[in-house]
Amino acid sequence: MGEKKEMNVYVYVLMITSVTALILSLLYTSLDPIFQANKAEAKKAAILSCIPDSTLDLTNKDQVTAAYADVTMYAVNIAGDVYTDSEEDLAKINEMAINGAKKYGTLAELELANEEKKAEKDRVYPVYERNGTYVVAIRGNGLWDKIWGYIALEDDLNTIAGVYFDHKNETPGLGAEIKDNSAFKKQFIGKKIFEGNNVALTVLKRFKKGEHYVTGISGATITCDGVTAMFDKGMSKYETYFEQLKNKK
Amino acid sequence: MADTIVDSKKQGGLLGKEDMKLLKDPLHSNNPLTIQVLGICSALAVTGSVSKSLVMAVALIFVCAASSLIISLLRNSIPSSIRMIVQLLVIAGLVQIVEIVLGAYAYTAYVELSVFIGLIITNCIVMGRLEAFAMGNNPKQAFLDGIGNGLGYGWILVAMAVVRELFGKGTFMGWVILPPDIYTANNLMVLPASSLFVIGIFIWIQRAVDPELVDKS
Repeated sequence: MGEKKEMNVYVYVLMITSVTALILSLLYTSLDPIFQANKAEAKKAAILSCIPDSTLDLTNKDQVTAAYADVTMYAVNIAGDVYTDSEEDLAKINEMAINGAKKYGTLAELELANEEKKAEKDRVYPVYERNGTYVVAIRGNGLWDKIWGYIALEDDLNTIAGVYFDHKNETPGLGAEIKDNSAFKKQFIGKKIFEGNNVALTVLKRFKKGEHYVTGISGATITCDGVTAMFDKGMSKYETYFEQLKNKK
Repeated sequence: MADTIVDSKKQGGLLGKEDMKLLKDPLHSNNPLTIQVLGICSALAVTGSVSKSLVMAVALIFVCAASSLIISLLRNSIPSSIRMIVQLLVIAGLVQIVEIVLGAYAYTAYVELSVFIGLIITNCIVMGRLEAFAMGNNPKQAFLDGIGNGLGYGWILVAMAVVRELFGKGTFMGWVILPPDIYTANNLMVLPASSLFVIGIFIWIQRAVDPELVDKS
């Protein structure tokens, strides 16, 4: 270095950052559709993962697609109104998209994060149904950031058939265990969510016998409390709809 | 980390003796992990399974080689007062490329490695090679040095993962090698702490095989 005159620092920084930004944005725009498709695929696998099915290999893309063909998806609101994937219903949902909430092209694009921008009575929540098992989505706060999950219910709409949890930023080995630790998730199977009209399912620090209790993960108290709160908040949104369903049966 | 500037004119052929030295030295006698003890952080985090560590190794080889090449090409134009910022920008940009490409073409690996892809930026091997070598050598040598160091890091990483996955889960790349009824998986080997034992044993073996590497003092 030194034999050439050095370029102005500001000019240099501006040049090199623009070049980097240009390359990155070009790459991102061209590969994002594939990434989004992967994400959608992973979402399908996540939903199917909480429905007990020993014959299904979730790492096999074709099997996931085939199994997901049996899933019917619709959305419900807190009053128990049902919205299907029809244009008419989508228009109704999109009409309520204010405060910067995104509009959906199909119902499959429904995201709880997006619904949370709307007023509570306008929000819709997804229901995925496969052979008499109902899967619902819940979302809440962990220690560092959002946590979310899919809960599969047996046809009594109270007994848990399986769960799937995920998180944005929980600590690996501690809070992240809600996703990674299959023993933790297995505990939920067979537990009951509701007691009367209340959500009773609780993640506790210590073992407690009972159909509403799950033992938490040591070192992850706040994340586990977040799971309890997420159940409480999330499942209560579906309650009216579940009552209607039960009455129909 | 004193590196002698290599005189490329003395070499013949595509890869001369000195060039091969750049590639080979980091694999053994100047290994970034076991000799220089750099990049330990990621070695603890991603060596729990072989497939994970393979992706990490490939990603690091790419970032290390490409950033060395780019920085070496730019080395005469970078204003010295901001050279580290420029190095970081190049590394960060390349890591972002890795992340975008993995997200599109290797989604499972992308989800598994999650934050650790981003943490390649802070892997001291990459910036260490840029400062120590790429800033003072021609692009070809810098590129080879980047590949060499990436490989040196990568092979130790994968070797550690083989040991940890075999004893921790009884598997290799997910295939069952030691069935549970013969061998009870040792959970300690899955935890990050075990990689400290494993790398310690690796360093011990390496120095036992080649006593010249033992620190005289």
